[in-house]
Amino acid sequence: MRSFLRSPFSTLITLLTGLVVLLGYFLDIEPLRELRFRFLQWAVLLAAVSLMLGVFNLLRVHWSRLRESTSKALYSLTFLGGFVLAVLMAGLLGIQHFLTHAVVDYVIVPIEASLFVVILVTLIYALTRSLQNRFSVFSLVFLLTVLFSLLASVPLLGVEIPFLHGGESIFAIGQRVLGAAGVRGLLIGVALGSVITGIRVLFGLDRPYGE
Amino acid sequence: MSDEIGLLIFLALGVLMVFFTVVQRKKPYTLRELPAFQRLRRAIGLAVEDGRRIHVALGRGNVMSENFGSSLIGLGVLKRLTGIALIADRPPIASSGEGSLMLLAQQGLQAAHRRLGILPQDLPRKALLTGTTPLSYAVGSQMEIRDERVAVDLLIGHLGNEAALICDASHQQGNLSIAGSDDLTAQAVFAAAATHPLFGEEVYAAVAYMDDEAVHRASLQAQDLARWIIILFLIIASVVKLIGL
Repeated sequence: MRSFLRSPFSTLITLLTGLVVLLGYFLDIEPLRELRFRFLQWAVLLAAVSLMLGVFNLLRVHWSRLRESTSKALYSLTFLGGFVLAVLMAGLLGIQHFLTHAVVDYVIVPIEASLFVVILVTLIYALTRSLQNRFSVFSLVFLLTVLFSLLASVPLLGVEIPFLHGGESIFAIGQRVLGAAGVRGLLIGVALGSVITGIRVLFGLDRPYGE
Repeated sequence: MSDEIGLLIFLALGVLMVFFTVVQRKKPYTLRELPAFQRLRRAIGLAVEDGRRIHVALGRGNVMSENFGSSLIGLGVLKRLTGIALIADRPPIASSGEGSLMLLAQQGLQAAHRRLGILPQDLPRKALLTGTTPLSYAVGSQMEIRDERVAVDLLIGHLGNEAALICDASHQQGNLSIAGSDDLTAQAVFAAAATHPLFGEEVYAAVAYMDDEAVHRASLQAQDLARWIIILFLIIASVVKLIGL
């Protein structure tokens, strides 16, 4: 009974708030704009609360893994220890304190930078793997585009290759024309898909997160 | 003026969708074959038989941003997969990089359980926020892929270049990875790193390929028609500009 009542009620709220926000965006009517602004403010607050809930959820999962003493317990212990340390430092010393800054500058930033390098290596490996496993015209064009883009981004040992380097080179023109056309084509598809998905959810035709 | 045109386009697409939904009942719209979804159907069956899980990486789309559309598709896919995978009592797991996405994923999982009359157990572990920054999210998702006996990884949502790390973890476990995003950088990463990359609007078709509901087929039909209208408009505008009218 509860779920029977809850489903149409939540759909109605979605429909009404969604319509107000949508119409407030398109039409210049003061009460609509005011309501839209109010709804968006509430949504920002709810998004912030949901982030906190997400962090609590993560803490709960790691705490239960720690209690189960599985093979993942070490990771969970590291996570929980790091979390407690970060909260204590930021809470007791403040975020402007040099120790808090030091943790960010000497621990978090270097780790994230090293992960970027890992991404680069991973992508090179993935590219070679895609050539090995599913060699096709598409993967060949993809590889050539990557290679030429890399070569064109900086002069090789200070030597400028005429058709590759410079704003008016054949490669730059091709990149502008073909690249922009491809990007626009993909973006048109993405935009249409987003709008259609929005319409489905707004009018309650699809409830991807509910009954 | 441009705002009113925007509203008109929105309304026109809505009307088209309703019209095609009615038409679907008489003449169903034939979807073109996408190898990614053919493989997915087979892989789901194998994973269910093998007692392994399906992992859905929902990305880090913010509920307040325009890129949440692809995250909604990810949530829809997760809900439908749960219905299938619950037969083998191995529901999918979902990782997200945004709190609101995690809550919606948990709600979707709960709804799928309730539909089958099963009491959902241990929801916090099945849909969790693995990190709040792009890289911490990716690393957290890598750990879930390694630890939860995953067979298929679906990356559907708003992701960036950090998706390379998730695809790599998937490959190292010998999993099938199907990946699509609204982000162009992520699409370029998927072209190299995913087993089956989805480009452009293909990711928005995922739900239609997973169920047979008229409204999803109708929305694809409306999308296709709108795309043809835009193509025609672009060609005509180019010709008009070329001949100097």
